Amino acid sequence: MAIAGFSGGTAKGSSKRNSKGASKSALKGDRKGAIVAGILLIPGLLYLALFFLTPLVQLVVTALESPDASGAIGAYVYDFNVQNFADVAVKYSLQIFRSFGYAFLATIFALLISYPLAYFVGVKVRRWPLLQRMTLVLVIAPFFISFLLRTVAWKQLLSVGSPLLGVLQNIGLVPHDGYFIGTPAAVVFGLTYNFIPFMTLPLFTTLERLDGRLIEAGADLYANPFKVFTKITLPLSMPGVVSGTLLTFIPIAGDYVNASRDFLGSSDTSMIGNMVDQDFLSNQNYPYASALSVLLMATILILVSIYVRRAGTEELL
Amino acid sequence: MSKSFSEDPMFQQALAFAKSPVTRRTVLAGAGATSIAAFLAACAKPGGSNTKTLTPATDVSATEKVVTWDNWPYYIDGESDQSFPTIKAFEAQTGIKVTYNINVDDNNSYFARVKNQLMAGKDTGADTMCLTDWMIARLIDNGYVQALDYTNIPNALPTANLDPAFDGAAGHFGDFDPGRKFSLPWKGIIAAIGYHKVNYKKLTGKDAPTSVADLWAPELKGKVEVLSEMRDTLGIMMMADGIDIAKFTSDDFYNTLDKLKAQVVGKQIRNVKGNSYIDDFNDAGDAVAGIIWAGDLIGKNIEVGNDNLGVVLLDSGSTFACDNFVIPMGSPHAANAEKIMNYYFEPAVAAKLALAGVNYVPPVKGTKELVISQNPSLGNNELMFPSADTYKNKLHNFRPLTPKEDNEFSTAWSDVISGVA
Repeated sequence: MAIAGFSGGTAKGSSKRNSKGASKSALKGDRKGAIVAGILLIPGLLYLALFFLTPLVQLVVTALESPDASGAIGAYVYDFNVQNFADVAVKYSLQIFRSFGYAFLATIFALLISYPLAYFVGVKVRRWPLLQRMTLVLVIAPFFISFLLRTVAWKQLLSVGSPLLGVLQNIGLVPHDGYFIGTPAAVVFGLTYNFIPFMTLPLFTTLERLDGRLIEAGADLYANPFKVFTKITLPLSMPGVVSGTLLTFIPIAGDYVNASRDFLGSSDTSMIGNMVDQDFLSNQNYPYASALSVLLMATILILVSIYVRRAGTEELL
Repeated sequence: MSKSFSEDPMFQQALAFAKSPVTRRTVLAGAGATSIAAFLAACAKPGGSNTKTLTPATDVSATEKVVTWDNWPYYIDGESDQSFPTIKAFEAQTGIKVTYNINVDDNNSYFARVKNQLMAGKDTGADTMCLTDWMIARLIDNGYVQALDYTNIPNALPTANLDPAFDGAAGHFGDFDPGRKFSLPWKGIIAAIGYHKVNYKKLTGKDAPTSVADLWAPELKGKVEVLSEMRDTLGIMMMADGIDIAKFTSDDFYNTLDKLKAQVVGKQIRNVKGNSYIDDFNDAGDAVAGIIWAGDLIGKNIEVGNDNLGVVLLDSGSTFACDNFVIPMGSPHAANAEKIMNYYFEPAVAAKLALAGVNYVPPVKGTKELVISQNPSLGNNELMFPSADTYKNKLHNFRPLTPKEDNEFSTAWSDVISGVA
């Protein structure tokens, strides 16, 4: 991106000049610009090589290891064991399916909750900047508290005997002798809650720029509010919807806190992240943990590519 | 709500994590657990076993008066408010500054975090840590830990205060380390059946469970929790089937695991947890009965100030294990670590811990008498001070697993508790 920016700039400059000498110097300038760009890129590239590429390569290498002859816990040797990928895909198929299912549901719920919220903050209270800032702070403030603490707090708030669970029982969502924590619903609830700001903020930034005159014009042309929303507001806010859904879906698919047995989950709710955690830390099966991580990354990459291609990336943010 | 939010052990851990000051050491040793450890483990020489013989790091205890100790939750006095009275007294007495980290919540995950440093003989960030018997056996076998210098630990000599039940002689606890050359017991842990007296009576009409089979009563469906520590949960279940856990076979293991799986899948067992299970044994009844660590329930009763939780030592047998001190090869403060071990082998100090709510079995002779003098019911509690008869007939040790079995069984176990298999 940076290179394109630099060379694009100089090319534009050169086209304006017509003499031979000028184009020669523009060429020189091109080369100079490229060198400067190259130098400026070095720190970034080094950073990426060190902290992104090296671990990634290491991860793939580890994913291809085989158990050593002793069969002892944590004992693996370098190999080219592609079978690991097939093994984890089969062994953890339910968890993989569940992760993306939970991520899909939680992203939809987060969108349904965040859109009106962002609309309210970005459009409705726009006329009162102080109120707008205050409501924005209200959206973000809970997230100044640690992710873990908030999740444990929900575990308490929804445990057996808690007033909140009582309400859920009274309206028939949870059986009277039943429980909520440890169920898939609890995990999806936790995921939705924890990732709402990642949905709200991008939506807010696009809705904040929404031109009110267009809505007025739509109404003037006899569109009902629903039509105004589907024809004007929603299309204009699509960049926010796309980036919001990406920012929630990707981390949710890899989350392992909410679904953990110690937080909101149980044996019934394990996601990919929990399996990576378990294979890495408890079973010390590094090849499986790595293969599963690579698989998770690849799946997300494919899903996101399809999604972005369909939704378009213009003005993503 | 029937309980205070701040009592939740997960909350306590998360809070401690959020509050812990960021120092070079914690960044290197602790925070790296998630990403750096993963990276290092991946970079480490594969094979898992160590080929070069490690030697102890140069000891700088005389000049650096510090010691870092990694331990499990609920193992020290003044943990909830970080006041640590006995540690403070040790600091005042010796001038050695103690950093006490509640860093261990699972043997395997702790080991995975420090494995690379242990293998390389480098400082793990902890000068001493307390881990469970089988893990200590693995550390000793691999040569990752230093021999103890008993001139610094005279209190822990068998002739002094080390309870003979824990001396590592054949047939005694600690027999993975004959003569206790490398390790010293910190606390003994009894795993047994625990229950909430009022809720259990309400649901089943009975006063107390008397066998593992009682946990599978239909009235308790979704109200049973068991420990995620394989050796305790399966150990107790195997003994209930008449299997000797000192010499069970692979078939015994898998048969019992199938039985557990049926209870997990059938939702009789609501959850399989580590230390955080204790919070579910609340008055509201998230969990009503299960396989638990006795000391946790006794401690919870003392903390809450009632006697709602009960522990049953099964006739078929309960498991007993120890958490033990060791000093990793890379620790530069071995002598300081030995001094703190020595300190906790004073009966008066061990008694203080017991009276302050650390209700696990102290391996220190003379503690029982001191506790009886101040709190007779606690001092006479079989679950804290088991009699010779109890040791012999009711408390049993899970047999050591071969490295291969360890791998297979652990994987099979975690697959069942995470719903994979």
